[in-house]
Amino acid sequence: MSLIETKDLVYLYGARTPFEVKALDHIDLRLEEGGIKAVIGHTGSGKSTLIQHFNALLKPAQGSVLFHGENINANKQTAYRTRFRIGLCFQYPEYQLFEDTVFADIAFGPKNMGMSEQEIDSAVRTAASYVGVGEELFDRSPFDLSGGQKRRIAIAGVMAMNPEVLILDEPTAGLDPQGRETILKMILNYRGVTGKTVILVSHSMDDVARIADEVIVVNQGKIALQGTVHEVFSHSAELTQMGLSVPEVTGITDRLRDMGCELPVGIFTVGQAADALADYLAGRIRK
Amino acid sequence: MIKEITIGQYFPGKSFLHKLDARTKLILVLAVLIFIFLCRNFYSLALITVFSVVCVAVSRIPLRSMLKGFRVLFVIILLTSLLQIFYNNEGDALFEWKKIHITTGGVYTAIFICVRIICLIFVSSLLTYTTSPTLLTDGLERLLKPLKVFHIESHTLAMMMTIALRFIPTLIEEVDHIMSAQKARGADLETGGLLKRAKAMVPILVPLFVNSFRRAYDLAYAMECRCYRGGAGRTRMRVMKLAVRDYIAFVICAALLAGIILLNIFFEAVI
Ligand SMILES: Nc1ncnc2c1ncn2[C@@H]1O[C@H](COP(=O)(O)OP(=O)(O)OP(=O)(O)O)[C@@H](O)[C@H]1O
Ligand SMILES: [Mg+2]
Repeated sequence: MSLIETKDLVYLYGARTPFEVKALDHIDLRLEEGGIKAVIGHTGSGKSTLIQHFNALLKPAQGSVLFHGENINANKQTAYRTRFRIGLCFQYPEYQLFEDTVFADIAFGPKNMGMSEQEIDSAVRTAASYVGVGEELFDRSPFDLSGGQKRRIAIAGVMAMNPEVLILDEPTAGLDPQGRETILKMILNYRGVTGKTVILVSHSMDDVARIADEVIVVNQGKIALQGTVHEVFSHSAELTQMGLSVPEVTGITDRLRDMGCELPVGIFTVGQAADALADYLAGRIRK
Repeated sequence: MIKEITIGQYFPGKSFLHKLDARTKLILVLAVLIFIFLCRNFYSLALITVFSVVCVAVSRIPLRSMLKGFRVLFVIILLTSLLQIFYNNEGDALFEWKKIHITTGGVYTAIFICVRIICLIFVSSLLTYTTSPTLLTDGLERLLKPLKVFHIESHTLAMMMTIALRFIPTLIEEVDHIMSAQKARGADLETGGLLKRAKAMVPILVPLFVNSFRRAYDLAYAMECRCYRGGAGRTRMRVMKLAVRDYIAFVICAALLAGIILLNIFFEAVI
């Protein structure tokens, strides 16, 4: 049984108005437990719409979404409970902070779950440690912090609910390189410590190549490709057609190979490229 | 849920009503609203009802989405007219029971008010349904120019309106977005008593206000960066011009007025 499964999922925005948009077009998708899964796709391809179906925020116009084999939209109670089991953090989550203090904001989700004071306290501290927010910030107002800090607090607010699956919609959008790096490290750390499944929407092929175990490509409301980083990024022509690209280093090593360097195929991260080039150069010196 | 409120929304189209000049529509809608109140008997009311229905048909706005937006209002209309039945005790008695007297006068006023309000809503919402917000404010700006006599800058008013209208969809989208985000954290917005529901709005309203202020500042800076300094000396890209169809519309409405006055004279007043 898959962790999350969609069957013939269709979603329309503005149904039966002149503005009707078919955002999801008969999607059949299976996601297994564990690992970091990246959802990529051109802007407007339906990524955000898809992930909002995973925790029952949007109701399918047609088809169903199964979590551990159970229909999450079976009734209101199931839909409500699914939100705690599949934590979803929206794009630009820093615009949703509202409490007086950082602590209270992170505690919002756990409080809604009906945790006791003690449980809330420990959930907040654990979540804050995942995102690297120190206790000295707990009493500050979330509105006085930097953009990157706000974002990490908002993500912690979802992690604090201790969900089985964590979904992040473009967690690095609009951050500087250092901010991105922090967030990526944080995701890897969270996944390492908790061992839980993480689903990540991203526009950066480099980030995806670095941290994802599985890649799902969405194009015009359909699943275009699904597979490991290696499998998906070897379809560079199709990706280009969908307005996507392969990671930058892959482009560079492909060019080098065309120029006659004997580099292996399937290099997707800077680290891999560095190793391959070092091997290649060492080989030439030996000759 | 919140997206279902369609009143005040613009439906793009190419109908006769869509093509009319915004100023024509503003003046004529105002006139027709007054005509609705001029009706004194069922004959003139029927005339204006037919006129409103024809207008809706001509606009080609899907009736379904129009009615959907009115659902809440229909309850209010129904209540208002029901109250009339019990308050007005003129005319012949139809039904009497203890203190309740229902008379023909009451029933007539109830029907009259009900039809009148529905016509009012249909006609006035056609204005926004068929006119894009930009054209609407442009038209308003031109029509309010004479207010300069009282030192009121119609341009400033129009600009404020444009901005307000421009941000309504943005705000609705934002409310939707924030609601989803808080629901994802388990916020319960649908159950509980009044107090609990009011409290549940805090996580929605606080970010909404914070973001609105941020956006207002951003917009003000962006406008200043493009050297915006009010209406003086600004020219327009779209110069408004009255066409033949505008004159036709004026003539039709004049005929409507004449019809109502004649029907009022020839038949007995009910209200
Ligand atoms: N609230 C909405 N109302 C109407 N249409 C919408 C709404 N949200 C999204 N859409 C439309 O649905 C389609 C899919 O949108 P979605 O937000 O899922 O895309 P996305 O892949 O997340 O894009 P991005 O990378 O820009 O975030 C788009 O065509 C978009 O215009
Ligand atoms: Mg998106």
